[in-house]
Amino acid sequence: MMDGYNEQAVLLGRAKSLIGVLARPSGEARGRRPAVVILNTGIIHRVGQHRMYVAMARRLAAAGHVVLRFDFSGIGDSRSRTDGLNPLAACLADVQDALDWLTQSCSVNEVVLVGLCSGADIALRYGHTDRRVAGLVLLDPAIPPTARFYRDYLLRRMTRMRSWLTFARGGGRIWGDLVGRIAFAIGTRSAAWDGGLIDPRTRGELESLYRSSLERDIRLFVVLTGGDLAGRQTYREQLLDAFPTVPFEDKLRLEYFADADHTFAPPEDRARLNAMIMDWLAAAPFRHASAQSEQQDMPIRKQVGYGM
Amino acid sequence: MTPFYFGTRQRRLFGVYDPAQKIGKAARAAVICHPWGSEQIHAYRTLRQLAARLSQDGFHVLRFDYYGTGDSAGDTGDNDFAGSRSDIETAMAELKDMTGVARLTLVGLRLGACLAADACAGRAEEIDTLVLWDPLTAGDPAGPGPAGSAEVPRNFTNVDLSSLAAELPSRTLVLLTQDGMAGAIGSLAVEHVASAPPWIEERMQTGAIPVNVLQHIVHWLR
Repeated sequence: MMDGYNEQAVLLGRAKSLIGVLARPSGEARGRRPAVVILNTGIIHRVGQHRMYVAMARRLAAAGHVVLRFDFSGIGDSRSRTDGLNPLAACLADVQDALDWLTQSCSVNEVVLVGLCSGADIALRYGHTDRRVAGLVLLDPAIPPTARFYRDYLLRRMTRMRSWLTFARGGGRIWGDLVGRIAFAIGTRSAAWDGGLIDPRTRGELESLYRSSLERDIRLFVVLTGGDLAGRQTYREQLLDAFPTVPFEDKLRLEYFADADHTFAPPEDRARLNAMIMDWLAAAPFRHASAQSEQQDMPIRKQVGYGM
Repeated sequence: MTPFYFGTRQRRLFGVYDPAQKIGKAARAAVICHPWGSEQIHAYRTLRQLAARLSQDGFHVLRFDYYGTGDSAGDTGDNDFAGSRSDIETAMAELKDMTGVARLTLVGLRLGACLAADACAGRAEEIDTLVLWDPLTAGDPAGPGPAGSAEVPRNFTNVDLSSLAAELPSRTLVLLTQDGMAGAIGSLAVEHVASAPPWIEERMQTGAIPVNVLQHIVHWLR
């Protein structure tokens, strides 16, 4: 036991192939809801960039939350799957395995998923399919570029001579996005084209995921960073502008770390982030998990295998 | 594979134990010593794969996180060089206790190689084989130091491998995969295997497992 929490190494999943670390509150802090599950970012194992998830889990556990960090199949210590699922479907199945284990081993029936970058995207795709998910903490989730994003991006780049040279040669992000959009619109690029975040189908899919999450009364805490010159987003309201018809209303808390990089490298940024998550968990009006019987009767996963 | 915590209440260490999959004439056991900082994070899966291969080849294997790193207790920055070296000694004692094997192999990558060499010195009765994979040396273009990118623990001083040579096991492999890293190796015999560094995040290489290096280590240890 250490400073209000204790940690335990655990094996999860049907084949016990997933490895995680469970942090639990100890002593008087015991029993604050909901539980928290932290997902991998890309191929970085469960400790996260700069060990950020270790500190986050310990802080949340000391405040009373059960917190699980685990590795997706094929990441960190976890074995690869052998069932032929595509990578996204495998991640979604792993999240379900982790929640099943928490339900059975820790009597948890209400969970907040935390993810950064690809972890945020998986959290968003999974959350609305499982009634145990009451909230999502999405750190730099995928957000399509907006008109203001392009303006900000250009203004930032205009101060760099190298960017001018790249632009003049027909290179760089702006040209690439413009050419991609025009080619798709006039039909010279096939329907199989994967345009990433500028692809209108991706935008529609993300919009649908946010709508479904809100319909399930899932609370959202979205944190965006703006310090990276390469730029995923350049301003706080980009999420709202990208999805103007999604009724986020009071179910969304939105924060913008203007100077933070994508991995929250400075320790003070990570400390600030952890404090915000703590505040949000304490204040958000999570719906109580529905009656156990209802939860167990309904299909846990309606959708798997989104195209990525 | 068994993940678990060991060590003392004040210094809990996270480790993963892979039991030997085949036992030959005599059981063997190896402790894998991680690099430090972001290098530890980027090389994590590679060393997991090395452990799996050694396990399949008849080694009991323990890899672990130093105090204040990875999943071990302690805040980042809480540890120093001497503390990490003592963590290796704790891991060695744990593995000997778990397996009953009296003499161990140490395999260290980057700073883990420096720590392993330091921990080995004068312990011939406990450690009979040592693998130093791209040890972090003064001649290393990636650091440590202001010009380098490698993170190091507090109180880190360059380990002079050449001066330690006489105290290291007679069966010691220095394995280098990068150009220009042999500066401070001294008289130790070196083998070269070209490979992308798994401890660095590179756009097109991140996550790639250097299978040729892992095979070289496993074959050399046979």
